[in-house]
Amino acid sequence: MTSNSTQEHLDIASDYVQKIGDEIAYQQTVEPTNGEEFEVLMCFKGDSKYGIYGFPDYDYLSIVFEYSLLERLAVSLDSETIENHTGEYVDTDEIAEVSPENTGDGEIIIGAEQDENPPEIRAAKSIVESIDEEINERFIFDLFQQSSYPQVSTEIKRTENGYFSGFSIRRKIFPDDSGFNLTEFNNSVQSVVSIGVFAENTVIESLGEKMQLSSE
Amino acid sequence: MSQGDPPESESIKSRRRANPSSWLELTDNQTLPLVVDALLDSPPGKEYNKTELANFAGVSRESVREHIETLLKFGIVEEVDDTTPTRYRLNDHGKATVSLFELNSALNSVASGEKENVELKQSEQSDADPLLENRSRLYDTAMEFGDQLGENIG
Repeated sequence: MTSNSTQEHLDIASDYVQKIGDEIAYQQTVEPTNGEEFEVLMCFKGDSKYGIYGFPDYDYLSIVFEYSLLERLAVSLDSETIENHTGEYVDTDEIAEVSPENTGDGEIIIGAEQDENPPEIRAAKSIVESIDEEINERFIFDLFQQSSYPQVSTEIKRTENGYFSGFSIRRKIFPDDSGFNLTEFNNSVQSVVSIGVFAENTVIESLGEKMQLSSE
Repeated sequence: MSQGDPPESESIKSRRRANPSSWLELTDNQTLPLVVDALLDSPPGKEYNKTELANFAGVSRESVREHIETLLKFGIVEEVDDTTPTRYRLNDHGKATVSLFELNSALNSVASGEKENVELKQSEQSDADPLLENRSRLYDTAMEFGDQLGENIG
C-alpha cells in the first residue's frame, strides 16, 4: 500500500512534471518478490524517459534515468542468435520490454518481471560477457568518469560476472524541504536527463549501426 | 617624460584596454573568468537562469547580468528557447567553447607535466570530437566495446 506521504510527494512531483512541460506516461505500483513495494511515476522529457520513484517511509523521491544494455540487446536479437547462445528457441515477435523492479534495499533493477532470466536476456548476457575484459573495464571506467557529476549519483550496472549491462543516473529530491520548488525540481530533472541522455547516446552511437539499436 | 605622465607601461595598458582584443574582453575581468569556469564545469546541457549561474559561479547576479551579453556574443552560452525568465546553457558546439575546453585541457595537462602527452593527443585528435580530451577517449573506448559486441553477436 502506498503511504500517504509518498503519494503526496508523487502528487507534487506529478504537478511539477506537467508544469515544466514534461509528460506523464503512467504511475505504477511495483511489488517486488522480496522487499517493499514502491511507486513509480514514469515521465517523458521529449523522447527521453525518466522515472520518479517513491519509497514508503522515505522523505525523498528519486529521479532516475536508466539504461539497460541487456534489454536493448535482448529485443534486437533474432531467434537464431538467441538459440546459438542459449540452445533455446524463442519467437522474437513475442519478446516484450520488461519493467523495472526493486531489490528491496533501495536499489532498482531491471529485468526481473515474470521470468527473471528469459533466454533473450541470457543470450544478451552471453554476448556481453564475451567482450575482452580489459576493454570492458576501460569502457566502464571512461563512461563512469564522463557521466559523474556532483549533482547526480551515477551507477554502472554489471552482470554477475562484472560486465557492463547498463547504467542509472539518479538524484534525490525532498518535497517537504522548505527550499524545494519548481525551479529545484526542474534543475533536478534536467541534470538527471541530460547526463543520462549523454551516456545513452554514447552507448547507442557505439552500438547502433551494428545492431540497429535506437533510442526511444 | 614629465612627472605627471603615466609610466610607459601604464600607457600601453590603457591603450590595450581601450581597444581590447576578444581575448582581453573575455579575461580582463575579475568575475567573467569565474562564470566561464563554472560553465565549463557544468554537466552536459545544464541550464541556468542568471541567479543560478551566479550561485554556481560564486559571483553576484549583477556580474552575470553584466557578462551574459559578452558570453552570448562569443557563442559561449546560448539562450534556451521559450523560457521566461530566460535560461542559458553552455553552447557545446560553439567555436569559442570548443577552444576553451581544449585550452583548459591543455593547460591542465601541461601543468601536471604531461607536455609531450598533450602534443601527441593534439595530433591524434585533429579529426576527432574536439570537445573534451576525455570524451574523445570515451568515444574511442565505446567504439572498441561496440565492435567486440558486434563480433560476438555473429
